[in-house]
Amino acid sequence: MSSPQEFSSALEALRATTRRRFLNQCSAGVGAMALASLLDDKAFAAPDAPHVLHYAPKAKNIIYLFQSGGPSHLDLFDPKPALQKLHGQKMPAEVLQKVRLAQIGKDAAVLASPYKFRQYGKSGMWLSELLPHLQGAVDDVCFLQGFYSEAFNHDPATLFMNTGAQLAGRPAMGSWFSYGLGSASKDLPSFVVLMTGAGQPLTNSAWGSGFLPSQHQGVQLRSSGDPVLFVGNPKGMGSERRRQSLDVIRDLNQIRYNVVQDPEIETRIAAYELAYRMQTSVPDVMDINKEPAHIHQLYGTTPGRASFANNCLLARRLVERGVRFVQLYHRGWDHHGGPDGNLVYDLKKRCQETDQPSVALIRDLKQRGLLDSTLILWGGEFGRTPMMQGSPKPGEIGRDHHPHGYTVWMAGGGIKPGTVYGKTDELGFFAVENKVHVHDLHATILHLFGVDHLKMTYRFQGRDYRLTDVHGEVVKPILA
Amino acid sequence: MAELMKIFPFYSVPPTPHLLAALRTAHVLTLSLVLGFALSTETLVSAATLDFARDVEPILIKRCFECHGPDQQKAKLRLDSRAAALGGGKSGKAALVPGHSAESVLWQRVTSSDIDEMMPPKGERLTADQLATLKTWIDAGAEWSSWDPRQHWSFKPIAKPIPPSTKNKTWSRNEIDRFLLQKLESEGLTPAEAADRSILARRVSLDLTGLPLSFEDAERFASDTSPNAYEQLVDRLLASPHYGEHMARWWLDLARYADSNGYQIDSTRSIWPYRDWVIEAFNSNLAFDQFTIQQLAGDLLPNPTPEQRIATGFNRNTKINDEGGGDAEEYRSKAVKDRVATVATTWLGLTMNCAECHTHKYDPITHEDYYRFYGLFNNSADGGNYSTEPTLAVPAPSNSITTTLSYLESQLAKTEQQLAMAQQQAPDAMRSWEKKLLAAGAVWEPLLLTNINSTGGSSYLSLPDRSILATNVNPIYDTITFEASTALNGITSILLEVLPDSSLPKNGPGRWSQTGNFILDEISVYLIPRTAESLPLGASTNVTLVSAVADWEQDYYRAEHAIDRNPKTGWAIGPKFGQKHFLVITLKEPLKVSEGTRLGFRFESYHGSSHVIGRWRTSVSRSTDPQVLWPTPDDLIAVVKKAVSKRTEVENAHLSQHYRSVSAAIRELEREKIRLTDKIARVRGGRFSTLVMQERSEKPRETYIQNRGNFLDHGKTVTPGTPAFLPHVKTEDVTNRLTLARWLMDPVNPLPSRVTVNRLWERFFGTAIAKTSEDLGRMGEAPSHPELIDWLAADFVESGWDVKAIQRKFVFSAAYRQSSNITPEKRDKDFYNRWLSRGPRFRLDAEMIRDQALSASGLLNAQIGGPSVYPRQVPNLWKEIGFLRPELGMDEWPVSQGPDLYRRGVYTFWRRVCTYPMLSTFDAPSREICLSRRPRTNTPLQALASLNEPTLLECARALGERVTREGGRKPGDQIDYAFRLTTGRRPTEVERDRLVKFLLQQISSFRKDKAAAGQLLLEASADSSEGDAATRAGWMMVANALLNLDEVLNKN
Repeated sequence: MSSPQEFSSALEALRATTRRRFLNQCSAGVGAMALASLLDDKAFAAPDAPHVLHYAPKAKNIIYLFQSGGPSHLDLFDPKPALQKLHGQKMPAEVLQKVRLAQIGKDAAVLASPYKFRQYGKSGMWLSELLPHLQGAVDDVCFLQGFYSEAFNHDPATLFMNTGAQLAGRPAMGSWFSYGLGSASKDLPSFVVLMTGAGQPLTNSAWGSGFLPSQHQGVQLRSSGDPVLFVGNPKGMGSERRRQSLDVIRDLNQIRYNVVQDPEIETRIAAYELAYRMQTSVPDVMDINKEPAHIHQLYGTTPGRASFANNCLLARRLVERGVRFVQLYHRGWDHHGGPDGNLVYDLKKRCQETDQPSVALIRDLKQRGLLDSTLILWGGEFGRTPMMQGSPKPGEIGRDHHPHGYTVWMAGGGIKPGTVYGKTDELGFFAVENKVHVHDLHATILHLFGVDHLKMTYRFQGRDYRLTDVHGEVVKPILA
Repeated sequence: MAELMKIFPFYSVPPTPHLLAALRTAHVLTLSLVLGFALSTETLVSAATLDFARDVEPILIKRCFECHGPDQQKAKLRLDSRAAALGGGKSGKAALVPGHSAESVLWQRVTSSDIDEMMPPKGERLTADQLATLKTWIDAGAEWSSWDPRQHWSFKPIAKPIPPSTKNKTWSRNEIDRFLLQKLESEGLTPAEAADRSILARRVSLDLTGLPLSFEDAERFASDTSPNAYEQLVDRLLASPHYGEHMARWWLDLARYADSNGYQIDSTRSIWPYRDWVIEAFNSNLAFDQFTIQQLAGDLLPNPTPEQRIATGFNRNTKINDEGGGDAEEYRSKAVKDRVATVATTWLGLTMNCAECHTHKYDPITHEDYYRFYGLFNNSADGGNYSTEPTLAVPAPSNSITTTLSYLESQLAKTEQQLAMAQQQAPDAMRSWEKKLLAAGAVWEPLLLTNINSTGGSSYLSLPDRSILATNVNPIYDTITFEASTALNGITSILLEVLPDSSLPKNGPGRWSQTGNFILDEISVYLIPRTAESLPLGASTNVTLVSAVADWEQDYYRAEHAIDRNPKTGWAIGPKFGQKHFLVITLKEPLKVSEGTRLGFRFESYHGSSHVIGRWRTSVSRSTDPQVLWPTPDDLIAVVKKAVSKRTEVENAHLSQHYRSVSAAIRELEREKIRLTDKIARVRGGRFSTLVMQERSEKPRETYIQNRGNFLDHGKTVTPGTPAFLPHVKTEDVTNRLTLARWLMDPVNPLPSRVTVNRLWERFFGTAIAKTSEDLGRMGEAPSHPELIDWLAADFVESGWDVKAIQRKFVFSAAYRQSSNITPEKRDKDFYNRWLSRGPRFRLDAEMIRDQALSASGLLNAQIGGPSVYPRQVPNLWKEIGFLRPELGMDEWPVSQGPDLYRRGVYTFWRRVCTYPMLSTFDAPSREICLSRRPRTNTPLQALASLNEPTLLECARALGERVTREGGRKPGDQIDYAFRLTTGRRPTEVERDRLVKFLLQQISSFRKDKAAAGQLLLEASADSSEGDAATRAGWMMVANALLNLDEVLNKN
């Protein structure tokens, strides 16, 4: 039994912890959830638990395969016979009346896809010949074909997909997850970012914590050098010597704590211990050498050579270790045409780099029984126009940015498999049926994690902010 | 579900065992205590305690106003006033019937289960709590205590309150204390004892200058027994030029100052003269009203001075989009909106940005107010895309240039000296090289290259000299593969020669149209078995390459980058274009080639813009001597073969010239000389400018309301002006930036003085008086000491907006001088120290952590001002995130050299998309938007940075060396000295003993492992080999530990 004093000191310590975790939070909404996560599982299973998570969660982890630059839905997922008919002609004027375009003019000619499409799986999803691996996995996947966004420049569009706002300064989706759900890992961050490819630059606001405390920002695991900045000790120090120095730091901090009694000192002692654990756990998770040959074959991975495939395998390893939000950025999907990025050479190359490992991830998680609790999301910041950009050589055709209707896909994590949801118009221009907006996608993802997007809020500058701003509807028909 | 519940807080303290034990029995109680209403299932709402503004109105605002509020009235109903709600909407039925919830349509709709009737129509239903609140409120008469903005504390006129009298008559030192003490007394708290003098001295020095006291200053203060010793110390600190730097560092977060344009291209900009202006303004104690006027409207003052124009850089710290396809007007409009948000936060403490799309939900700022304010900034000459104009040329920063030049020139002199010495020894070394060369015979065997393939679609010609020339398609990116057969066994090295050709752009050897450069990102070598038909891409028979040297390498594009397996780094040859260059690659072990095996090669170019190789030749060799492997042209081989006496003078000269590159030592020194000379020329020839505000000369732009914030959707035209709810200044209308600045600084305006003293207070006491220092509006937190904030605001204005004077009052107070130790009583009654029952104690800001380490170690370069610098950063960070486009000039961190490595954090080049990692880890913002208050976190990533960041490691090494130099001979004395340099106080005996033990243990273990000691010192840029390595390394360990103490990372 605990004495009143013990209880009171426990309460104080708890308050101290809470203070750090919420900074300025009032104890509403997600505050309750986050606080519960500070306690052990018994406390979490208290009678109040159902109030804590708003719904029974389906998913525990998410792997977001962000295809940066804007993959062409018209050449991968959404074949349009009308484009074949109108190829080379102007777009119907009424279609273009309401829109702004990024780089091309309104008289740009319609471009038919040069690729062959066929139907696959029970859903009869049409897929391009560029995605041979995905063709075999259609029954595990849910395609959102009426997806749409608002921004048509890379930077605002990327921020919109990842933070729900076009301007920098809002927390990334992964930061919201870290804030709201905490980490299930003792020695790894809850939001991890991996990056490959070249092309459109990315700004770290896309995985920044915005106005949330900065411990929620995405931690980038790098494929060369220190996987996490400063995680490696300098040469000549070695782990044993580092341990000795951490011991002296801890002892002196403890001595000072006895005088000053500031709980923040205890937090620092704990932070240094976690840092020490990360020095082992991070290199360990990054080492894919020990994965068996059949796994390397499945993903198409080569240890030591940075690739999207390696990152897909790393994503699985991170999820296995409890990392809640893993985000892969793969750059180089900005295919305007011309020699610098086109739908012939570059699109094919991107598909070769991503098709096999993306599907391998589905299969691998499935065979490990992790697919049901892991949501995979694949997509870019926008699609591409039905019109051709410029008048390049035949081998260098391309399309402009296009947020009004495109395709993203999801798998696992409580999403209905083998689904094709929504569609674009005849020309693949506007989403017209079962439209899903960026905010709706965010609301749906949160729902899968047992979180009501209306209730996960953070008070900043006098306003309760949400990932979904003041919008968003859960897309119920795609829930399993 | 069970697994999901096992959630551990990664970044928080795991509960300690005793805490857990307590929680197991107490958790339910604990949760409900801490969470209050969040977990309550049954809420008893009592009419007596119901507060309309607190409990009811937020529900209406959040769930009803979108359709029935000030901006929109669906079914002609509005619910933002009692009269309107009583009147009802289109149906004519009253939405509210006071006293009768059942008859109120509002109640019927929010409780209806009919899908066509229920309100709100979107989102979740109202919760049981919310319903209970509404019902109680309506039944109690639906009183509408309408919130009167004029009654909100921060919008009221400021009257200077009289400091209250207190029971304790002896503690207070000035008026501040009387306000604080009164509150303490009413809370049943007593002030803490005065802080230890040495701790107080460190505290006030860090607060006023961002640096700890120097050892001498600390000694001087310690031995100063005069009664006003502390006051004199404060005055010395306020007079220090480092005061201005520290203040500027704070102001620049509000001003969102950065050295790059933002958005994804994020190219560099020059606006550091604005940063220097801020430093100088604080140092000269420019009155805050002038400080404001010059930043907002210096250009509009009569005959503005260059300084006044530089000050307007405040509003030019907006982002500029360099991405193709951006709509210029869209990005210009975004910049204007950023100015609205920034000026409103900085001077008014208002979230005016909330009114961009609709009337502010909480504060009395209408949609129209927003665009009238927008109109004040809408006539400047700058755009939102591509261009940084208008700019102002500024004189060269002579101080920083002199320092840089003198460093570079001393380096050049040193290099030339070393070069002269190397040359003296050259003749002997050259003769031995000649002998080796003669003995070696033919060194390189040029390969006949076949099966050349380019994924980019290039074609190739085989030339008679066995070189390959690329023709036709010039791909942007490319992967080139080719093969060769050779009978040579035991190959140790590969030679890649890149050759000029008249068919290539600018004569080659690369294919980039502008210069003829190339970037070889990766070269790979394979063994292809006889049975394989062609080169297997990604084949696992990779030959391991261990080193690469080149006759010439571009800055940041080094030879080794071609073999480092990092596709984002590569070898390039700028600015020596149009010439032959070569790369010699060494294999890990000699190649055993069985019969029929072929060699496969792959070149990868990811940098784009056709940075691909245009003409090359590949050779192999079995030699292992680097000097022999260094290619020597045939005509010089012929010279070597001649007897020395038969060589002509010209031949001798050519041979000596060639030998300079054969000798690795001379080669490196010559390269360094070229680099330094080039750098000196660039520094000497530098032209400097800064971004400024300027009004357009043509007719003023029309400002219109943007419907829902969409710049394409024009609403009605508005005239520039300030929010209607704030007082008007009679003398002039606010129509431009100058009248705006005067309006802000008119004492009639209640906000700027309150906002500023509140924000300054936060710097010293950790939490502002009104905690949300960015928002003093209705949703901000009410002040803990409302009279104190008003007294300070009034005093600030009365003093003539004297920024130093108000801060002097803060630090002179008894409250500030308290000990920060926590007692059980204070922990219980004043956990967050909001009543200031003890002294402030909190973590230092990012820049202070860096500056303190530099200062304690003696490495700090205390120079003020000048262009931003590039202290050590992990290589290739920019490459990982940015465009791989060297032509855009932002793909590599051009690390500074010499003294610039050790400047204060405020001078670190601030790149928005990739903020300096050490700073961002400690919560420094990206400076994309105005920030009033940095978060203050405590994370393991900070621990890693503080332990291992390169500059901090270097500081540890230097601090250790300083201590062994200056701190006496005995370990105990040395530890005392080191402890005082870092914490500002003497260690206790226990502390000293623990550190001495650690020191001796480290030294003795390094004695046994000298290699480790050497490595550790090398990692920390040891530049001398003086002294005993084991002692130096041992001391580096101790200093590293000291710099990581909680006490050192905090002010205490």
